[in-house]
Amino acid sequence: MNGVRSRASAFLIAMFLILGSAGSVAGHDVVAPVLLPDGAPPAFDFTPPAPGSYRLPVIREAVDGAVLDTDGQPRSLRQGMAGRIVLFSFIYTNCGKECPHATSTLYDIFYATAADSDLAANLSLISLSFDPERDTPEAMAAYGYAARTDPAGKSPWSFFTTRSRRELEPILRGYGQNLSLRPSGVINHLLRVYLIDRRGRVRNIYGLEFLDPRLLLADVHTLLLEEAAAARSD
Amino acid sequence: MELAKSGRATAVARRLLCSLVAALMLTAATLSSAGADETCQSPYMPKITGVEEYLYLWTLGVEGMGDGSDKLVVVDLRDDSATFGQVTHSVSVGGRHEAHHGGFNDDRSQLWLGGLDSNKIFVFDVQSDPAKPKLARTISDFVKTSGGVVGPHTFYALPGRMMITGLSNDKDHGGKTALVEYTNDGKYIATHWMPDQKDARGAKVEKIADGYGYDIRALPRKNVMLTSSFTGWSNYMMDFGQMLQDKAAMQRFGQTVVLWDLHTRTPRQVFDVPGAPLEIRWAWGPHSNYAFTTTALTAQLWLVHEDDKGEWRAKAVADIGDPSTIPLPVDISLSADDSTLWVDSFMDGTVRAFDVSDPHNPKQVYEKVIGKQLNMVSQSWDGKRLYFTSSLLANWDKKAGDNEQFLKAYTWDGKALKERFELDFNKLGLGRPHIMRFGSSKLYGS
Repeated sequence: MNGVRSRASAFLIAMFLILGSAGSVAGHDVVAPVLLPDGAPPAFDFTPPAPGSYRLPVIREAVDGAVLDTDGQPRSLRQGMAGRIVLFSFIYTNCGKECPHATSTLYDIFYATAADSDLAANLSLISLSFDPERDTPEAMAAYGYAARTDPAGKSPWSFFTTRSRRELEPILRGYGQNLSLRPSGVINHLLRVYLIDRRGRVRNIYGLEFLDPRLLLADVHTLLLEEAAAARSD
Repeated sequence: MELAKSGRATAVARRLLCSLVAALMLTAATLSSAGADETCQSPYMPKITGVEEYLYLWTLGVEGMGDGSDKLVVVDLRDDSATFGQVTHSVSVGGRHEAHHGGFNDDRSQLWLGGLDSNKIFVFDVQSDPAKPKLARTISDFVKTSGGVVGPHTFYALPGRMMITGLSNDKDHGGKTALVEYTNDGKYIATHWMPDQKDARGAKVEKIADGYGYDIRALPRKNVMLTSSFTGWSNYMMDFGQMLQDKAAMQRFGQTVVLWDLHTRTPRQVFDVPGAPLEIRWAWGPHSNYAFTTTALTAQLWLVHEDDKGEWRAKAVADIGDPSTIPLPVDISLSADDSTLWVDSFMDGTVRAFDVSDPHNPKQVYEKVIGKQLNMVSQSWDGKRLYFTSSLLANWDKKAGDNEQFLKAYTWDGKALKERFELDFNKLGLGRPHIMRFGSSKLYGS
C-alpha cells in the first residue's frame, strides 16, 4: 500500500510537472500569508473535533448535472454520488495551484478508506473538471490513474468532465463556483471542496485554508452518526 | 485514525508537492495579482497585493444633504487616471439605515454592506464592473430569519458563506446577540448565539459572559475565531452626549472577547476584556498565534495569544494615548508583515502607529492628528498607502464645526504620513463615510 501511495503521489507530482502551467505573471501568491518560508503550507495545528460532537447545518441543495466519465460515457453527477456521502472537488488538470492540493487531500482520504470499511461503503469521491476544452475523458482518466487502478477496498472515486462549457455552466452556478479565464490559459478560481450528504445536500464547504483531511473525515463520520441516530429514532 | 498512518506515509510526497505548488503559486497568475488591500480581510479571500484601483466607501446619508440616502461611493485610486482621487460613482440604496460595515465574500465577487438600524443587508456585485458596483440583492428579513438578531455588523468571508456578527437583539435591544451564517447567494444557514450568563454554551468563562458581539476574525490554521463586544441598539442609536449622561446606558457595554472553535462554531473561552473591545486583527505570520484588539472606553491595546503550553490568554499590553482623556480607540490595521499596528482614536482624531514586532511589548512610534474626529483606517498590503474616514455612528459623530466628514489618503514611508488627497464629504453632499474596501479590475479575468 505504501508503494501504491508513493506511486500515486509521484504520479500526481509528475502530472503536475507535465501539465501544470500556471503562467508567469509578476505578482504575489493569492494565499501567500498561509505559506511557510520554505514554500510549504503550514501544518494544521489543532486537534479535529470529535465526530458527532457538533452539527453540520444544511447549506444548500447539491445540484445535479450532465457529465462524462473517463470512458466518455454520459453520466449524471447524481450517479457519481451513488447514494452515498460525497466529497466533491472542482479541479482542472492544468491547475498549478490549489487543485493539486485538493487532489492530494482526497488521496489521503481515499487511502484512509482502505482501512475503514464503513467509510469505504458509505463515502464517494468526485473530481469534476471545469475545463472541458482541455480536460477530455482521456485527460481525466490519466489524472485519476492512480486511484482508478487501485480501487479495491476503497471509496469509489469518479473523475468527471463535461461535454462543453454550456453543460458545465449550470453546475458551476449551482455550486456558486466562480471562474476567471485568463488569456494565458490559467483558470483563476477559488478552491472549494464540498461535503454532500446522502440526501444531496451540501453540508460543508472547505477552502484551501481548511483542507485538513482529518477535518473532512471528522465531518463524514459526523454525518454517518447523524444518519445512525435518525435511524434509531424512526 | 488510519489517516494518521496514511498521512505520515504521504507526508514527504505531499510536502514536495506542496512546495512545488507553492513555488508555482509565487509566480502564477492569481485571482488577485500584486497585492494591496486592507490587511484585515478574511484569510479565505484573494488579496490585492499590488496597487488598489478603487475605494468603495459605505456612506451614511444625512437628512437634507444631497439625496439623504445611505450610499456606496466609489473613489478612483488609479495614479494615471484623470479622475484620480475623485468620486466617480455612487449608488444610493434609498433611505437611511445606519450604514456601517461591510465585507467581501470569499471569491470577492460581492460586497455585503449592512445597516445597523434597519437591519437590511445590501449585496453589491463588484465583479461585473469593479468601477461601477451594482446592487444585486437586498436582504430585508435578517431579524426574523436569524431568530431575532439585530444590527448586522461585520461581514466575514468563509468558504461559500458569509459569517455576520450582530450587535443587538429584537427582545430588549440590548447587547446580547449572535453570529449569523448565510450562503453566498443570500440564503440563511444558522444562528450561533453568543455565550451569556444563562448559557455559556460550554465555554470556560474567565469572569463574565455578557453575550455581546461586535467583530469576528478567524485563524483557520488553529481552528479558532475571536469575537469582541460593543453595545446594543438602545445605545448605538442614542445621542452620544445623552448616552454619556445615562448611567444605566453606560453600564451596557461589552467586556469580553470570546475564543471559538471555528469549525464547530462553539465558544471555548470567554476572556475578561473590560472597556468594549472592538476590532480584532490576527497576525499574518504562519507561526504567529496571536491577535490584537483595542478597548474603546479604557483605551488599551490587548493581546490575545497562545502561550507555550498551548493555552489561550488575553492581556493588556499598552495604553493608547492618555486613557484618562478617553480618546476612544476605534479602528485598527495591522501591517502585512505584523510589524506595525495603526490605531485610530475617535475623540482626538488621532492615528497612532505602534511597533508590534514584539506583540507582548508594543511601542508607539508615531502619531498624527488626521481630523476633528476619526474612525476607520485601511492600508494597502505593502503598507505604503493609508486611507482614513471620519464617521462612527450618525448619533455619535460630533456636531457643528467638529463634524468633519472626510476621506483622507496618505502615503507612509516608514517615518511620516504624507497627504495624497482629501475629499470633504460634507461639501460633496454625500454624507458620513464609514467603512472602506478596495477594488481592482485585476482581481477578475474575462
